Amino acid sequence: MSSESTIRTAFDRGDFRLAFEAMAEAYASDFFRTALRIVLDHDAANDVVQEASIKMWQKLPLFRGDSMFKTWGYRIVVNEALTHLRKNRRFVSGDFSDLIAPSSPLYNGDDILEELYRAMATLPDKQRITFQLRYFDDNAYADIAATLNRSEGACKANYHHAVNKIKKHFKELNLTGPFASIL
Amino acid sequence: MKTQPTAPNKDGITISPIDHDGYVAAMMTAMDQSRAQHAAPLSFWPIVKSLSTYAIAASLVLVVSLNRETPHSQDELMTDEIAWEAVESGFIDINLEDLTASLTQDDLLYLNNKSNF
Repeated sequence: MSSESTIRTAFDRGDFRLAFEAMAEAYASDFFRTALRIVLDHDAANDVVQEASIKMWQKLPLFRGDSMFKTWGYRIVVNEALTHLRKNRRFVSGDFSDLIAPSSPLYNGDDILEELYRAMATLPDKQRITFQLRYFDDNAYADIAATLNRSEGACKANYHHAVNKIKKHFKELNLTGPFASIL
Repeated sequence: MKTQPTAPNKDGITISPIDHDGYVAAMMTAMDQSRAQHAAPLSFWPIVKSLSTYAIAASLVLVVSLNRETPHSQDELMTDEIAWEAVESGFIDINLEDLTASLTQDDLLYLNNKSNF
C-alpha cells in the first residue's frame, strides 16, 4: 500500500493520529528539506517543521481530501517557512540574512551548487520556491500550483522567469556547469 | 510502514534514515505537545458548523482584526471594513472549511467564547 493510501485509509476511518503518524513517516524528511531550502538555517528549519506539524495536526480533521496529503503538508510547511522569513526580515533592515546556501550539517553542495543557491537568493520568494519545487523535487506544475495555491499558468511563468534569471547569473560568471543543459 | 530512506538530492541536502527517524519523532512530539495543550481538534467542528453565513463574514473581519499588527502599518491594505464589504458584496467567495482552515486554535476559542455567535 502506498504512503498516500495508508494515510487516506486512516483518515477515512477518522483515526487522525494514525493518519498523522503515517504522514510523518512518509514525508518528514521532505518537509524538513523544503523548510531548510527556504529558511536556509538548520535550527530555523526545525522550528518551521515543528510549527507546521502542530498546524497539520490541528487542521487535519478539516482536510477536504481534494489533494494529496503530501501536497497539503507541503503547503503548510511552505507557508510556515515564508512566515518565518517575513518575521525575520521585519526585525532586520536591509539584507535580512547573509545566508545564501543552506547552513546545515546535512548540506554538502559543491561550488556550482553554491552558485545556484546564490542565483536563487536573488529571486522573489514565489519564483524561488516554484523553481525549487520543480527543479529539485521534480514536482508537476499541478502539484506546485496546489502547494502554492496558485494557478498552473502562474507557476509556469514563475519557473520560466526563475530559469532565465539563473541562466543570466551563470552566463555573467561564464559558468556553464551541469545546469546548462538542464536549465 | 517502513521508514523511508532518503537518498542524496540535487539540492545538496542528504538526509540519512537515522536523520529521517529523528524528523518523524520531532513531528510526533509536536503533535503530542499540541494534543496536551489543546482539546482534540475535532471538538471545534460542531461549533464551526453551526455558524451562519453572517458569522462567517463576521469571523473574517475578526481574523483580519486579530492579524492586524499595527494600526498604521504601511502593509495594511485590508481593513476590517473592507473585508466586511468584500464579503457582503460577494467579492470574497469563502466557505466554512476555507475559513476555519485559516483560523488558529486561539481564534476558534475566541469565537466560541463570543456569546453573540
